[in-house]
Amino acid sequence: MLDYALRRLVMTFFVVLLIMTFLALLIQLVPGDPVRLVLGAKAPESVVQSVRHDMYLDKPVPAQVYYFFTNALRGDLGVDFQSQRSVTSLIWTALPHTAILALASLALAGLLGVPLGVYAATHPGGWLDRVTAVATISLITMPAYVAGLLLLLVFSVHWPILPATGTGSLSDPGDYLTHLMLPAIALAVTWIGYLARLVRTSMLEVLNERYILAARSQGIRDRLVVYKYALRNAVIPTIAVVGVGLGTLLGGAIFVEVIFARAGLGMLIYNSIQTRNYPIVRGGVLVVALLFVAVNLLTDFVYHMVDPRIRVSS
Amino acid sequence: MTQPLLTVDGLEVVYHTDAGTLPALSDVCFEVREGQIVGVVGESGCGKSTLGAALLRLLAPNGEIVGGHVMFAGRDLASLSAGELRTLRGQGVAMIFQDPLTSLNPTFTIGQQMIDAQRAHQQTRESKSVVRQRTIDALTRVGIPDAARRIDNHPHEFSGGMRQRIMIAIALLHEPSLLIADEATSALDVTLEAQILKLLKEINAVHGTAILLISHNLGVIAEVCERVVVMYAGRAVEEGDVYSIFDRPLHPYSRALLAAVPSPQHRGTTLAAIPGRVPSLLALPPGCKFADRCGYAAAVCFTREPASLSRGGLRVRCFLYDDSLPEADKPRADWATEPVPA
Amino acid sequence: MAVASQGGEAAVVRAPAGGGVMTRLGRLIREVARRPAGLFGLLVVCLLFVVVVAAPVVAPYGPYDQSIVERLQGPSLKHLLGTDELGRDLLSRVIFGARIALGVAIPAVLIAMFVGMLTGLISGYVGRSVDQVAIVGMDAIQAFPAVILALALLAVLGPSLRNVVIVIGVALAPGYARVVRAMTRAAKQNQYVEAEVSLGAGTTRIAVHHLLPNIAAPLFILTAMDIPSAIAIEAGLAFLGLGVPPPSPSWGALLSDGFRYVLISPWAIIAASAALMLTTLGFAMLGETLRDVLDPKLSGTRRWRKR
Repeated sequence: MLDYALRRLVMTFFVVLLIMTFLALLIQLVPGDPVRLVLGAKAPESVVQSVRHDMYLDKPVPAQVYYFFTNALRGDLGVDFQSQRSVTSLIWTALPHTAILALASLALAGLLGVPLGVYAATHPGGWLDRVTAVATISLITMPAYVAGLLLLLVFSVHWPILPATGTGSLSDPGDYLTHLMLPAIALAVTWIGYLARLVRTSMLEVLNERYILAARSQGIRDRLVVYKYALRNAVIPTIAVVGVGLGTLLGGAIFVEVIFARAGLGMLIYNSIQTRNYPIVRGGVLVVALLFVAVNLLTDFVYHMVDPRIRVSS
Repeated sequence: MTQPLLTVDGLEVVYHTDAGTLPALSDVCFEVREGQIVGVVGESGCGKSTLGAALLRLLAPNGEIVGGHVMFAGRDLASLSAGELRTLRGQGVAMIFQDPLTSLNPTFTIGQQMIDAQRAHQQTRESKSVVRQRTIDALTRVGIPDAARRIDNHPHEFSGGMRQRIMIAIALLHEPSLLIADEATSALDVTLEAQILKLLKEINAVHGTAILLISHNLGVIAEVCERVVVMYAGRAVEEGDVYSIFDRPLHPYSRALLAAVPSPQHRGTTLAAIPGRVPSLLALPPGCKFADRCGYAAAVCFTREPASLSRGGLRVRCFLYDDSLPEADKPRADWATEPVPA
Repeated sequence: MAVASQGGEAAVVRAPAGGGVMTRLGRLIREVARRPAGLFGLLVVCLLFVVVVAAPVVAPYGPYDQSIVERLQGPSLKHLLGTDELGRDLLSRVIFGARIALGVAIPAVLIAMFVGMLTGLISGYVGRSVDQVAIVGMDAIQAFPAVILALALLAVLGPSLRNVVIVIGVALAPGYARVVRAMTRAAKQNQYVEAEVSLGAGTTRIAVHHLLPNIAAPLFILTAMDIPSAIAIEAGLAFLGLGVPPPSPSWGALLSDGFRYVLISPWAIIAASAALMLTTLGFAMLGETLRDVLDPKLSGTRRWRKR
């Protein structure tokens, strides 16, 4: 187990290295002078040069990568082009909202998706299974922005029961929650379908296993067989996939935040792209990628710990 | 004569698949008396495992019992409600399976699984310590050393032989009248197999538990069983006491099966395999299913299916013994003399 | 509650194998069409191709024909899906949008397949450090949500049809690479391969003879599932303003325009959403059915009867 953990960590280290190198070099791909592009043709040369210096753009490329690393390790992701604010602090302010959104969507999706999947697995071929199958596939294939826009249309424009824009403030939980609902549902919608399918497939495989037959032959109640014996085994592969799905969730979050004008990392990245504020784009994308890598690592370890077979044999 | 414990009468089971309806079992009849050990033997695909599952009504969802009766302790299983069926499983009838690794849930300790198996049939909730103690005793009785400590281990921490003992322990928790052993030793090596068979015989002797032993291994059947049912292509082709079946088999298939077992006496001669192949369940020929491989088949064997006939204490499904046929049409075999009544 | 559990022999009978590529393809299509989901998927895909190829014929108007007087109208006999903020017929824009959707998705998936397969083959076959480097690369690319990766690249490269295709291709490539790598590694250890190598068979023969037939099925499935992903990503990028530049009628652009005028007219959003959902649903169903047909173990149950 330790051996595996070590190898995994080393690989992850290299992956992070590669990600950071890529992002550090990204700015080199901009056709023309990125600073000029932002500040405009009328900005005095001295200002342009000073900003370039702050961004290490006047140094050779390998040095830029090096400085990006070392600064990032200290928590310094640079300053943005226009107003010289610290990128780290901008991200720090925006991140919690995105995190809350992600967690809320996951929770919603889990609460609805898992029972749906279990039901579909225990009533295979039934009308509900078929309806669920179609519904879940259509939900899975629905991109986050479509879900968001449709929800916006229904619940804010035609039937205004929930606020369409804004984040609300954390100091007022009720208000925050009403602002959270539509975006969270929009993200959860795609997830419910995905989770339900996953749980269903996993459960079906497990339910076909001999130990389930054995348990039933011992007279154990079906309810117990399904919810205790089968589900525990079925959930294990689901955990492994949750980590991957989080990536799609984070990707979807950007759309949902834009549609509902909700503050968060996605909104920050989007705005910065519009204004060509590359340091923020770079820092924001880095944080997203690192988050994803961290979550994957975590789910990987949890997966290995939950399944005692792997725990012992590793 | 007291009522038999288990009566299977004309059992018909099919599987619904994309490719069509497979007749897995046809007109299967046999009985198991209290305390008896009955063996069901046949090649893979003959339907023996389907039989085991069908008895407890635990067929795969695409399987269906379409005919016949299964009576246990005088009650027709088809008439039981879901709750009564559940009560029966584990208490009246218990089952052990082929591969003990896949029969035990890998994510739970064996203690938890055994506790669940006990609680499944308890009206009042017994205290944890009582249940735990009973579990330890059950494990010790089947020969698991250091049971008190090992109760908290997971299945993969046991060897194959011990896992099978655990399965048997679970099966015996509620002292069932009938134990169905579906290929229980097929996944074990010879020494372990011998140990498990010894255990089963002990259980039968000490507790009077009837055993239905399903196996493809003639040696296992011969060692343990009192009566034998020989199956082929979903049909019971011969049934009788173990000595008759092994010494003087009536059905050409049983005879060929026994002849095919290699023994040191036949050293240097060709292995007597049965020519041909088992027919696919999707394309069963009319008439006797063994006809195309039988050395004694007559024309009638290919057109009509023989009924199961009684001969003394034995049953056989073959036209060789069908006296209702005119002599000219009847198949003939010089070894097929009338059996001595059991 | 009926609980599914395997009692004993539930036979799975496979269709006969063999035959040339075309007959096998024909058989595959027939198998897929037998199932309602597969039939739906096939119909959608066919419809899509017809629309894409015959767009100028099928669409009632041109995608850029404006008519300010008729702007932001709902469905009518003249404009079956309504009009957008510049009076352009939404149905026509949706139809031409299909061209962009497939025009981006198909090249992108092809690039992903090509790059991915190559990487996977080399990585799986050569092994060791090359393999480790490749894995780190794949992990790194997949560490970004596809949209975010695309955004980051397009933010610096600038949005254009070519860039969008490349970027999506890059994002999808690791998926193919992993599959091919796994297959290659398995084939390497396959004893048939060892035997052939010892007989002097070249790498190409091994690749063609042993790898390709095994790879075909998962690749098919992956492609069927990746095309809707690519379409969705492209539309998403267009929605955020980083897709194919306006006035291209990308479905994402329609969504974005519709979003701006959501308080006045929902029809652009409805039209584009419907198109997107139908397309992605169709491909997804096709993919699911392909998976059922080519690997029944993964499908769960089929045609169960109630106990």
